[in-house]
Amino acid sequence: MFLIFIRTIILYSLILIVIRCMGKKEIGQMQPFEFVISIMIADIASMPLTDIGVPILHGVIPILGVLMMYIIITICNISSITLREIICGRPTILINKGVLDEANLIKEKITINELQERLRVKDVFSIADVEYAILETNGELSIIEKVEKRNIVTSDLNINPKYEGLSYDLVIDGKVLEENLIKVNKTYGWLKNEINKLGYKPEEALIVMINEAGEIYSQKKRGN
Amino acid sequence: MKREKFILKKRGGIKIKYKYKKEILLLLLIFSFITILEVFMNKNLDKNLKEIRNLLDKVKEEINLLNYEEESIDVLMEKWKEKYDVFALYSKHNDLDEITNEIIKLKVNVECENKEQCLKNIENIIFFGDNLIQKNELNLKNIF
Repeated sequence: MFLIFIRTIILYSLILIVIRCMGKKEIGQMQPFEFVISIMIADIASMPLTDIGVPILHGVIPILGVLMMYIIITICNISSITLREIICGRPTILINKGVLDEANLIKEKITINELQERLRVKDVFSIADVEYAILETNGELSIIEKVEKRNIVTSDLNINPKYEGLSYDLVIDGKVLEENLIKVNKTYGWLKNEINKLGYKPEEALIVMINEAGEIYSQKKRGN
Repeated sequence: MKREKFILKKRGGIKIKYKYKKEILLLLLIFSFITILEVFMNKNLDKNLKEIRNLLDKVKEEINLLNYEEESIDVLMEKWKEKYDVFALYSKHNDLDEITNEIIKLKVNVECENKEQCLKNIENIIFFGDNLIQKNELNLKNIF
């Protein structure tokens, strides 16, 4: 068993090094150590699945080994900035103050065409509109547009909108969520009163929600 | 100053220990499980293959004395079938089937009273058994 376990750790570490060397482009949305797990687990699980001659322990032990590596690397990642940089790398600035950083584009093996494609996916249709473009450690491209190109927000118009906060579900599919009633400092009696005003009971509601302002949204179940 | 830094580090270390209590427990559980399996597997393999080896030595003695009694082969076969079920939990079935095949061939050769082939089969069974143990040994050759 130790043999399989040790080989799992060696292979995991090797694949992690290879993925880190390949760069951020290839991984897309996951950190390198998470990406390696997704590659390995499928393969490991398929071995005893498809071949009855392979004992199931030959799948269980490597999966547990991969889980151990994941836990260890996650702890290292959270505890140490240095280790985090080694394991996950650093974000790379591809466009800096509106200027393309050629050295970083070459380092990350991204062509101008690819960069333009990624910008278009983010609804930015011109490099000239971008102040900063950052290639994150998980392969995603983050964009900060130039001030004059950004969407208007309420603070730009000197408007102070009401604070909205979070909406809480009070009833889902006819089931009253007591926990959320307590969170919004309301009782079942109050809920029943409010819903009765709409002509049905809380148990007949498909959904009942309340927001910070105390406004209720409710919909009756079909057929009730 | 140095002493303060040391104390801060130590405090930080203790905080981390409590922060990751669940994860460390899980790690220990997984490692203990694998260790227990390894110990069980090695003991089981050694003990049972020794029993099979003893039976094989007995059969070999009888064949050398030209005694082609099938009783010892039947005992060997029964013993192997018993052990097979446990071995199959952690060894590849192909490796175990090689031994099963050789035992069946041995039985046939005993029935045909073919001394040379019988001895060949016995050596093959011993070889495959030793191979099974060596494949599961923890050494650099097996790791790489």
